[in-house]
Amino acid sequence: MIQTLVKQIVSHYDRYLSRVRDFLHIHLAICLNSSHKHLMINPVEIEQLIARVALGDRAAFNALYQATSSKLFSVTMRILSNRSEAEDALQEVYVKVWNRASSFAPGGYSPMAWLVSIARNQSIDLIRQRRGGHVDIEEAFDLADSAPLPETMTIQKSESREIARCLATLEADRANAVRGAYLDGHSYEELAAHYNVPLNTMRTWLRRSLMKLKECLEARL
Amino acid sequence: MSDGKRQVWDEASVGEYALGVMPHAERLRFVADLKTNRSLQMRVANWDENFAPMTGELEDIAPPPMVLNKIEARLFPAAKPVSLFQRLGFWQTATALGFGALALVVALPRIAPLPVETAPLVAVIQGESLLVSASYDATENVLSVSRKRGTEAANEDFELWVIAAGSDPVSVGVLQAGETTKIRLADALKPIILGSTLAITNEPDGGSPTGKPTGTILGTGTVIEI
Repeated sequence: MIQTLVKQIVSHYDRYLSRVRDFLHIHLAICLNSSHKHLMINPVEIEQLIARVALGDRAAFNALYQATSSKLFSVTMRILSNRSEAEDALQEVYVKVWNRASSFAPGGYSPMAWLVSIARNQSIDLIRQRRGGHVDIEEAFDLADSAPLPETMTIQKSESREIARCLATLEADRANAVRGAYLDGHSYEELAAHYNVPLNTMRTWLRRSLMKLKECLEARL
Repeated sequence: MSDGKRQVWDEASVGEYALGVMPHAERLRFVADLKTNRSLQMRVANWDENFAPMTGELEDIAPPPMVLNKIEARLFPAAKPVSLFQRLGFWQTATALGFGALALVVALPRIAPLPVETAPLVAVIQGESLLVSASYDATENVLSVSRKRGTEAANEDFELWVIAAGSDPVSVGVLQAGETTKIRLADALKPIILGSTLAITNEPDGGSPTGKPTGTILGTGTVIEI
């Protein structure tokens, strides 16, 4: 008697659930909350997610977003220093990630460097535009647009501390200029104003710093 | 510019491009070269790889849930955008109502002999192709997991994870082939089960070989009190 009643209620419940589901058109795999960002963090897993996104796997896209959006949002926020612009940029970034996932090749970029480069390019394009610089569709281009790198062209993967160690070999001002360009998206004009030197001097400094960095980064090999 | 002659970009220029400081006119020429020049692409990628760890000094900022909704609405226009709040709110209400009614009917005839110490805990684990309900019995420390929808592929198992806020996923086992699986939880999970997230991933036969999720997240749900 009770069992029959329970069965009826269970079947009603199921029907109710499916109606709610249809009503809501829930196509996406995951109801999310912030605790998920710890679920997948290692590069191999991110790479696997990108591979699945390339096949149009929406659940994988969702999971990739969960695993990486906080990092990429910190990148767009830092460069744009405006919450709503940073949110818009993040949208564009993940639309690009969805569209370009098939051009991501394991053995080329490491997954986070690939994602970060898309986020930086997006943000830098926006900020140059906002600051009255040139706007050109070409600006939106980044490496991810092109065909995957041939497998023979493997990219050296840096230990995360390498860049810090090599930046430390530069004078503090010059290291900070590199950081300012990379993290804050500063242009030569902004850097020159900040360090109070002529534009050309700034450029010479920075180019020299880049050469020193390259030397240092390659010396470890 | 003479046709067919490719500009030689020195390493400082490639670095300037990767850093984003290259002046506009030069950048346009660089980009034009980059499109067809594989070795230049690789040099840029090398700089990107070297620079990327600098983002380690940025503190992660969780974007508001709206952003993902907007992205998904743009990419998958067939899916009506439903805000996370609505989704969660609806599900929690649906879950609470459904299980509430069920629990009442089941419990009513037995209310006298049963000590009612703790409210029942339930979760609905939901994903695109998966619907699993779970109820937790605190006195026995047993999680009953009922599969309503979703089948694992051959050579695969559905593995269930408990994720307390801010913690790594803890495996509680794989779902058995039948409809309901009863899993006795580790005692350590008892105090944190309420409010934690249950997630199901697909894993190789027998469950994740590493003890950490390796497959796709097929569905998630929050453990709530009813």
